[in-house]
Amino acid sequence: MNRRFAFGFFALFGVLALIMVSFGDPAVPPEPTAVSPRVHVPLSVLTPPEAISGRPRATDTHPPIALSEKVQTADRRSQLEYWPCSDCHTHFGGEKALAEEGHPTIRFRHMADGETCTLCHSAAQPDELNLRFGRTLSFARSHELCGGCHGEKFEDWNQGIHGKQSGSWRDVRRRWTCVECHDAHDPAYKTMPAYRAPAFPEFGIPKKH
Amino acid sequence: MGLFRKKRKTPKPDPARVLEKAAAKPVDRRNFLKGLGAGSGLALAGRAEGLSLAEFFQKHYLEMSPADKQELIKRLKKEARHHYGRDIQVSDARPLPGVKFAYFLNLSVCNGSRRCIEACRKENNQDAGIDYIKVLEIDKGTLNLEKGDMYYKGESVPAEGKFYMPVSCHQCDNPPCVRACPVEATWKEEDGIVAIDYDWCIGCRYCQAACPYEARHFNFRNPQVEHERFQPDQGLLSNRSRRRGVMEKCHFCMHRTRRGELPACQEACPTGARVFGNILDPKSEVSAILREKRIFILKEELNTVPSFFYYFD
Repeated sequence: MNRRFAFGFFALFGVLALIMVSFGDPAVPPEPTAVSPRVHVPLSVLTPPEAISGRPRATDTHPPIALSEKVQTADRRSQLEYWPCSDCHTHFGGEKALAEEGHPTIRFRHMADGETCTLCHSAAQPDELNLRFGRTLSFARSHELCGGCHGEKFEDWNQGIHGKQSGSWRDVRRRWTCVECHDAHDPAYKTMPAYRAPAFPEFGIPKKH
Repeated sequence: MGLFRKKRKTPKPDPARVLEKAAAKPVDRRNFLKGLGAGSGLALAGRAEGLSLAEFFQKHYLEMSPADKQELIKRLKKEARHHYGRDIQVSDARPLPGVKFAYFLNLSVCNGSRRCIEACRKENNQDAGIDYIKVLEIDKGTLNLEKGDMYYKGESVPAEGKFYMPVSCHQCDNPPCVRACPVEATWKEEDGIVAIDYDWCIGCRYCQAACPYEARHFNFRNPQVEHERFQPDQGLLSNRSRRRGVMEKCHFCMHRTRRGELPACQEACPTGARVFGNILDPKSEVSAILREKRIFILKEELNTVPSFFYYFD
């Protein structure tokens, strides 16, 4: 918590410093290129990188979330690559192309017509997800957001028919959430190399294939 | 080095030289009887190589007293200590009351990555060449098992236009293998698992011929396990050490599932295609699948009544 405060101070300091640089005319926003040569996002959206450089990743682990008496899901917020989003973003307003430029590992191949981040990400609160009618949802319960569109799969998942489970068949088990197998930005399941094939029998009848 | 072969302290007498010696002597009645005794002794030693007296007189698993089982566990521990230098735990888990295991496999999701085979190999200390699971690569739109290929390379799975069908022991409720066994070395347990007593099996391979799923495997040699992947967590009827000349097969990871854990192949599956549970519990996942999904039973027409099902979604 203290670290968060310290980071906040740093961020504030950085913003203040920039404002002082452009003190001559406060109405004109500072040049976006001054923030970063690569990301052309208005400063009102992004905290300048120099204010956050050298910051350690959030390493706090969250306790698992209980779905029912015996079923839990893991809260993976601290394992996300870009987390917390509020480190850089004060709010969301960027578009797909900008997001892919700013986050090199994100590849957006989810919906053909989905161009804005704020369909799923809350525009006002960067650390929350966006539900309909202005409601927000924690990243830890992202499966509920997925279920908003993929209702049939979500029903299956809720009953343990779709998706992976680990732990125990009798006692407390962990049900893997959607984003543990499917990348939220590129959800198609990826191909992978298979493990080695069984040895062909030496004295068997060779199979034609 | 074989698993059960013990180091011989004294060199084995060469049968040729013994016979030579006997032939050099004039044969009278006394010598003849002596030679006969020596010959049969040699024959016994050759036949039952490394078979101790306790092993030879060991009872059938279902007739063993707790003391007999402790004796057997002690022997297994000693053997593992001798051959692998490892301390093992051998459990003797019996079926849980009110539990009947069922295994469901989602054919729409399985991507043929063979992670289950690898996990099974490790869990069961398998010899190279014996895999309880066969993953068949079949053309989409067909279900001809003869065209299924289990030796596919799989540089990038799932391949275009293919689907994958893992086949292992189906733990049938009407098991042809059990009826084929002439010595009752294999039988059906209360929770649905078909078990084998590895020490009672005579290796006639009738069960292998009877099984329509090619689930049973014969040990042509003593299993040779790399020391670094030796699994020390063992069960008396499941993954304990086997010898040359006995059958083995999938046992739903009995030593794990009977204490509430999941089978090794289920844990290794990257796609979540495998669902394991208690079919008698109406709130379990497997019961939900049975209610909700289209179930497909492999070779249903043979009336084997398996506990292993395939489904699509």
